[in-house]
Amino acid sequence: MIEVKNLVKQYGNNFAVNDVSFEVKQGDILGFLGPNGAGKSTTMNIITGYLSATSGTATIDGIDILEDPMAAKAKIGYLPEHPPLYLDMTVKEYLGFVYELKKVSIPRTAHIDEICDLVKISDVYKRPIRNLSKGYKQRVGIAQALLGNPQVLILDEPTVGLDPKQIIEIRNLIRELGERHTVILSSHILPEVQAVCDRIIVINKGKLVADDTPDNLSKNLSSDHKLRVRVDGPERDVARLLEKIPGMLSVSKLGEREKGVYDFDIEAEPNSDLRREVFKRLAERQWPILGMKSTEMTLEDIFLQLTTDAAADAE
Amino acid sequence: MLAIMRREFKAYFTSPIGYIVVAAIFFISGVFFTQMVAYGIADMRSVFSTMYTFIMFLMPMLTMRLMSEDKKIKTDQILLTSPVTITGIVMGKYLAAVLVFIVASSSTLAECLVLGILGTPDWGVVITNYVAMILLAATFIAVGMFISALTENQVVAAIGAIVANVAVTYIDGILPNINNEFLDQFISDSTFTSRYSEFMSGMINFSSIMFFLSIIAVFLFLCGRVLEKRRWE
Repeated sequence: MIEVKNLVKQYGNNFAVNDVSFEVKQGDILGFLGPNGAGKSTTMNIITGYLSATSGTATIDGIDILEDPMAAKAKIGYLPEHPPLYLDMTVKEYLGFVYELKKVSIPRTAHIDEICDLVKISDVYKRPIRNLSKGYKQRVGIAQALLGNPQVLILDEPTVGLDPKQIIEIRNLIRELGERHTVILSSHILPEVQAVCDRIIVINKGKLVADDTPDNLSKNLSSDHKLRVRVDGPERDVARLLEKIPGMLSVSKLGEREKGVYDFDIEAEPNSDLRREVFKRLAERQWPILGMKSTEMTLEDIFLQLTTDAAADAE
Repeated sequence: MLAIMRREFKAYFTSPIGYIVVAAIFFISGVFFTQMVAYGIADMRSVFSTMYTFIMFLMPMLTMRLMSEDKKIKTDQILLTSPVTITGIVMGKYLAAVLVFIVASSSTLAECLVLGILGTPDWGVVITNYVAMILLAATFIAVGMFISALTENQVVAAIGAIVANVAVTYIDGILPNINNEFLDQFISDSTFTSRYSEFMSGMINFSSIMFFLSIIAVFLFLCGRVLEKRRWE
């Protein structure tokens, strides 16, 4: 549905977006993740035709945004980082304006009413946008993007500035929208993309650093080489024993949990699995293992690792 | 294009600017009209020729936010990502401002009515004067809109437009100091005042109409180029 190929956007000597390529299939919700200033908004602005790329192409449903902008733009609903609202208009006037601007052909009143119900702005429908709270303004922005039922929705940080209750509502809304639209959603908040998206793209300093499902991302980056074990035995001796296992990189003592029971974080060489070895050695000494689990990375850790790795590579 | 025109036209009257321009034109033309009646002449020319100066200062008020505001509050994002051409955006906004001026200047029709009752004016001259006034305002609007597209600050846009309007009006003041025949001819041909006063005398000169229309076309084109260029920055 959306295809981005070798996208580059250069400002002087700075690369805001540096050779980014990805594809989004119909009906997918893609999360676009990256620290502030990573190039998320720039990429979205290029896909929607607001900015032009220095090189590379973006196509919507097979239509190049540069070659046939009118046809491509008609397929996109876009919520930019700052909702593009005319503050002097009422919600009604504004949505009516966008309806005409986008040359929507769906019957007007029914369509606008339906969208207002969906994003829950019916009760402020006749109020000037200037007087609305941040949360309502954001929803009017989403309503605007939904007008005309575009096949593709591009939402740039849709939940920024909202309170936790509103965030949950908007997330549910996006999930609902994902059933009928192809969605790209950007965020620098991890749980958000984790909760909503089928696929995640991580971008840092203009470069794509990861592209996978949320589960795979955490699986690939964490493995069984990092374990937390709880052992019933003398702390110092257990630690010394664990350190002697070949391939062990570090053992850290986490202290006493119950009487005579200690926790240890152990890290082995990457791609090695020491769980059996740990069991055998402790069993020989009759120190029972009360718990063992791999310390799987949260998306938060992955994100930090990916973005700091990329930064280190760049230097 | 029509959606943008309607929105901009409405916006003039949700803020005080539209009302101020209508009231100012009605009031100023009224003052000069009363003066004219007091002298007992049935000739609107004096009213129209003084309107020049006021149009020169009022049109920047109409154009100052026309393009600059979109850039500042980022509403250009909805315009430029909707299926509308840049020509459509520029023309929509331009026509809205011209329409506001036409509405404002139609208030002076009341004066024509009074004139028709009191005396027997030369209606041909009155009509050419209206044509001239609207052409002039339309030209100042095109120039002001282009300047508004260059900045996101309304005050800068207004001052820039006033300076530009004053410059094209009084540039012939430097003529006595110019020795070059070509330059002399060029400047005296391109001053707005000489073109405008041609109309005042009731003469419709095709080349003068083309003069104003081509300036409008050039500045609307440049305005579109500014929008286009912003995407490539």
